[in-house]
Amino acid sequence: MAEFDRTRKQVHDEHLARVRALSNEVQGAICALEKNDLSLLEESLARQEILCSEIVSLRAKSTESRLPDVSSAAEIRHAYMALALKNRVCAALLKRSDRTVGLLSGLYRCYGAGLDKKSMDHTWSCEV
Amino acid sequence: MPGLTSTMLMSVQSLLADQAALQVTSNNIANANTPGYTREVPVLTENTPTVENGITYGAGVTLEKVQSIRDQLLDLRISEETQQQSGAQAQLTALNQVQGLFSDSTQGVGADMTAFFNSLSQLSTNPTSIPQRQAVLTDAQNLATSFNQTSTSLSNIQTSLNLNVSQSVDQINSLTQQIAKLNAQVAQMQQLGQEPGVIQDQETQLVQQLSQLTDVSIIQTKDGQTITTANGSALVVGGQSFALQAAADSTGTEHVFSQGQDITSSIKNGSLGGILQVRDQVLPGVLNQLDTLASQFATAFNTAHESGTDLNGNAGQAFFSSAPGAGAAASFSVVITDPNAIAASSDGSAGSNGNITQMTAVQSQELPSGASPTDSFANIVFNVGNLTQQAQAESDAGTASLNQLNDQWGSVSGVSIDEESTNLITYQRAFEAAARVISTVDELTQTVIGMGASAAG
Repeated sequence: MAEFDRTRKQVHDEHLARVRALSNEVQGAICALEKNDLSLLEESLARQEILCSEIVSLRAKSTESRLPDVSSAAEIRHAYMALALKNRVCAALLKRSDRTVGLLSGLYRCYGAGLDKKSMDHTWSCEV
Repeated sequence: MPGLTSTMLMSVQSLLADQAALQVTSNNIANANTPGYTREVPVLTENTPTVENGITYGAGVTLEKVQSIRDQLLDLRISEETQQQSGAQAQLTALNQVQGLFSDSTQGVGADMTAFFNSLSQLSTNPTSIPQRQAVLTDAQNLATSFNQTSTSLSNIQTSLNLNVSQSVDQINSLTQQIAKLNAQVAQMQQLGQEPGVIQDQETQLVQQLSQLTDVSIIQTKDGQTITTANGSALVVGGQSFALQAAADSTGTEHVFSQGQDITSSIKNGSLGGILQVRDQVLPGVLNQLDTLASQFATAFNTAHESGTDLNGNAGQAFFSSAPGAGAAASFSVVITDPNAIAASSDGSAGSNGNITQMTAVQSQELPSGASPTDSFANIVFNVGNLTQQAQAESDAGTASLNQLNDQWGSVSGVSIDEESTNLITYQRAFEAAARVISTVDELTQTVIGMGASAAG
């Protein structure tokens, strides 16, 4: 029984650590976007992918073994809530970055439009 | 072939151009930390060459203009982002106040409702106990007070946001007037062929301040910037500004008008947009949910209470009173003042507690809204929390996005001390070289004069 409890606690601790690590990684991605640092963003996304697959398997184990106590459940819930908030911020930031990229690509389409007669009446200012 | 004099003149032009370039560089360094300052560069152009006997000779350099390095796309994005971020921040500030009314689980409507039903449960163990009955009335009164206070606090937040509307409109009008004046100066300078960099910097700063207040569209025209509201009403056209007006309707709610047209509902961003969103969308929604809960809870509980008999053997009367529809929470009150009037009995006997079961069942009974009173209140708390979290996420994302854009702006228009220091040395060397040419030409001229004197002697 004590062995089972230990395993349960271990699964919970690992699960919690991974969710918190994922939260930190999402924050890292936000910082990378803020600094316009593509390589930092790509590294963070790669780490997020690994953490996500680890969390999926830990969640399955966690469901099988049930949570050790009420406070552990609360810890996990808070960690997921913090992750959800970070995800919301990141999603909103990506949406905003997409607008900037959209405007920039519109600008370059305009510059490249010299060869395309049809594009002549569609200018960057129209997109803006 | 150009003579010594023309070489001397060319060197003087070079000296002047390098001196001007040095001045531009030192101005950039001086303004490295000035907010909104846009880096300037000297634009040097080669003079038209002279042709003598089929040979083309260069004719030196002229400082054509001093140009500010700006990126209109970035300025536009910063303005858009400022509008969204300010809107989200204003919403967050107001929503934090609203959330404060619902976040404490130990007091407020939710806690007082639980306390009231707990008192009723305790009364069921001794239905004739006057102190227990008094406790039920006290907890009922606490619940009524909580409904009243929450409703009043929500209305107070609405009133305070309402006051901010006219203040924001005044600030917008002041800024559009200043922008229009600068627009006129920019147009005038451009007509004279002057570079309006400094004025444009000031204008950009003012536009960013305007973007913090409301959502605007900015179009660059030959007369400067044309600024309109989100629905296309003009705010600034050339040197003319168009004031917005704030006017209250019969309920005291401030509306924003542009040239006679009510544009309140079209303002979505900037702090004014955020304020209006909370005042006109969020708060009425929360108040409506609270009123619905108060009204339906009072009706459901009264129905249960009226089916019993009180300690004096009389049929139960209405326990709570609440005006139907809007204002239900504000008018929620306890009708019964006599502890004996609590209709605990279901069979008319004084010791019966049968009707208390009916009354306590109301706590988990589905109201017409589709949820129990406890769940209805939990839904309000959830909605407010969700809206606050959404505003928090939008505000955080807006801040990050503004940092991102300002970083890009800095790399285009900001002053790099390293780069300017290099430029300083470059122009210094060029100035020294031009001065050296002048002294060389001077020596050559002396030689020529000397040659003339010796020939004459």
